Amino acid sequence: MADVFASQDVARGSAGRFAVFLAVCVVGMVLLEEPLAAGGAVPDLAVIGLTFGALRWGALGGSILGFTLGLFRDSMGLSYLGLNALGMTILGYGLGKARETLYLTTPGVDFLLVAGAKLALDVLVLGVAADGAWQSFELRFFWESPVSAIVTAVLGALGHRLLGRR
Amino acid sequence: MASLRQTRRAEIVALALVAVSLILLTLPQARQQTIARVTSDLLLFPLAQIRSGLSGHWGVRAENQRLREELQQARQAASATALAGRQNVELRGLLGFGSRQPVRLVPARLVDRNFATLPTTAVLDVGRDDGVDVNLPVVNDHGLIGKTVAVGRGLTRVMLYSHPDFSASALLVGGDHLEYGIVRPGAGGVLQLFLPLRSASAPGDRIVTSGYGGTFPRGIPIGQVAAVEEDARLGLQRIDRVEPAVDLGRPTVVFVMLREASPDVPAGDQAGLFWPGYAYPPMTGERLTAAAPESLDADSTAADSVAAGRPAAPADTAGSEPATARPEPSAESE
Repeated sequence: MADVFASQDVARGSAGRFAVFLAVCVVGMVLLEEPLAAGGAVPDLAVIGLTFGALRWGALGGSILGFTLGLFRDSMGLSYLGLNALGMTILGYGLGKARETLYLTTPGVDFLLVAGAKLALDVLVLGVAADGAWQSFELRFFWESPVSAIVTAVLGALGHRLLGRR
Repeated sequence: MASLRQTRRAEIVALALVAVSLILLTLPQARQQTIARVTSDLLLFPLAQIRSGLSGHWGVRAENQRLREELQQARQAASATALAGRQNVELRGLLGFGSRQPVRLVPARLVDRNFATLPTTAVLDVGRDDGVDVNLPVVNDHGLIGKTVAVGRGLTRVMLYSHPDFSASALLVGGDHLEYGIVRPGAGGVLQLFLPLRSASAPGDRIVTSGYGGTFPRGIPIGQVAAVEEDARLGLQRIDRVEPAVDLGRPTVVFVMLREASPDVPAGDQAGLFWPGYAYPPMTGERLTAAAPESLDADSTAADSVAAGRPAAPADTAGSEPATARPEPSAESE
């Protein structure tokens, strides 16, 4: 397991393989999140795709990818159109900028980035969607989000090693 | 320089996308839904179709699970209702039964039953404080269940008719004849009626306690002849298979039949005992003497007599009561 998280340069890898990885994330975002959910823990495949995409393509690519994936996700719901797009655009930009400053060869950095991205997105999305019902926000953010973040990070780190790297 | 330009471009694009997102967020709900639907139809339609199908599949699985649980709950509820219904019927029957008997009956609940292979003993929730003593008949509205063998203050142990040590002096009431014999369980707990060889018996003949033996008064239903057989070993007696009146697996409430007279006086003829469908003649003219079996082991003694080929009824009564007699019509009409 330690070897699994001993990340090499997560920003590198074959373009073809990474395209497949991203496609799996996008398709999985629509098809696989529900069956992969266990209890309140739902893996966020959009965050996985966004994290590794932004690390690969930088702030510009990350912003565009974030907006696109966010809009995809927003279009699957019927309220707060633009909320996920907003959050994921900011995340994509931030992760793209992080590529310039982080030591991406540090073991487990991709795991931490995915988990952090998921938590950051949940703060925004759940906070806005709570619409003042803070008990609901607390319940979801402090109980569901951490577990979801871990599941997402594990799935992302493993998936990227299997599909996204050379 | 190029890097700075790229950074600037990234910032501008990100800001523009954030602005677009904010504009989308501030749109009226109806407009948001329209855009979401159009975007969804354009971009995600194929995936959405697959997702819808799969969701349906998963939904069916979840619903299937829910329905299974509901079915299980409904079965449990139905089972409980059926049990309550059965108990209700049983208690109603006992209610009417107890009030019509000429002897005092102590109602009791069966609180424990030995189910090792076949129930042979049981425990009742009554005892000495309720007037219960040893060697009293235990019955329900269908007939004989057993007799009390050990009595505590609040609990009583019952030897059921299926117990290997159980035996009872029996009277077979045929269409036009009476026969005396002994009822005891055979191999596998099958109830058997031991009769003298030349006795007449036929399937369907009713069997009641004879009143001899000291424990059971005359007239408690034991069962009916299910099959007529002869002793295969010696050919000296008939051994009829008896279909018991009481299925030992069913009763939950029973009666202990108290003896009004002294415990030293044999149960004998208790006039007026009534069980629907079981008519029997009273012991009119029969006299219990010192030779009559009085002890509690007398039933077993009499059974052994029959097993040895001797008449089952006591010697002095066998002569006084014809081996064949017609039941009194009045008893039949009861």
